Amino acid sequence: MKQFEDFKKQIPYSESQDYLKHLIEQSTEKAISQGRKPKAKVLSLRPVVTAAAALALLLVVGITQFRDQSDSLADVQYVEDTLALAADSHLLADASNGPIDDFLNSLTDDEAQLLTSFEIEEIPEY
Amino acid sequence: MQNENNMQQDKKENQECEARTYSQGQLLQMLTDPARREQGFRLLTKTYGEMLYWHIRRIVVSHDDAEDALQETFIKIYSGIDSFKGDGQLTSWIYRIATNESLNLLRRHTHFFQSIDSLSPTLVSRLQAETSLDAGAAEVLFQKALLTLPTQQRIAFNLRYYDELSYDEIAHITGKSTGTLKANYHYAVEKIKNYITKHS
Repeated sequence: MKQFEDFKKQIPYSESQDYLKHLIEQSTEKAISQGRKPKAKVLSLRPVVTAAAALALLLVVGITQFRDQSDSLADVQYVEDTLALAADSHLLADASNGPIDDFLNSLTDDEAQLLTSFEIEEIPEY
Repeated sequence: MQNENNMQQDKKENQECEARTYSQGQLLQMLTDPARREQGFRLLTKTYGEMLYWHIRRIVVSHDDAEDALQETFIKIYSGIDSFKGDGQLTSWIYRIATNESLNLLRRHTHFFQSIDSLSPTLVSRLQAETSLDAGAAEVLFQKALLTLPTQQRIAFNLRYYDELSYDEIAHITGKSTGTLKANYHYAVEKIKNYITKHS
């Protein structure tokens, strides 16, 4: 049996010297011609996937934040609108801009009740 | 006329280049000089091309893969020579590129989350398919034993045993400590001996 040291670093492949010389020359010229070309930016898959994942995460966080903020803004807006409406109606109550307002203001509660429950009788058929 | 003169000049330069043996420093000087880069690169591949081919072939085993990895290695060397900072030898740098390209090529044959080490049976079958007819059974057995090693251990073993590099040089190529490499090499030797004893 051959010992470890007896293999003499042989490799069981059969590439000839000519073949290797040709391969090396061909690969060399190809590398040089590639190097002469203007470099195009190549995006490898991993950074693209990472960037896309980061963007998606940012979008999700952004949308969630925006929703929360818009909800709280909507609440504030609702309160502000209600207060503004109350203030407006108070102003309106104070205002008397004509004979109709004067008439309505002069009504008692019972009269106002009668007025709101007033119904027009159906027009009889003819 | 001018072209003929230029061609003769180029031919003369090439002959001179072939006649001389350039040191790594001289090659690096040529490679970093845009005017002499192509000439320097041709000299570099002429000097180290075969060595790189066999280094790659021992890692990827398949002949076709070795050709592809060698081509990629040359392209990376030529396009990336400006990024070589001169820390360490030029040969260590080109070996590192060749090693990485070989590993990248092996990775292409793996599925998701599959380790390169799991390719061992595939590599053994490639070895059997591509072994030359006049290869001795003992040499084939030795190669099979090598393919049972984990990939990193196999690379360390190859660089030490076939390329006869120092542990410092191998450390520069693989990014591992010399202590780890020494241990890797000795484990590899033991495993190979055991495999050969068991299978012969």
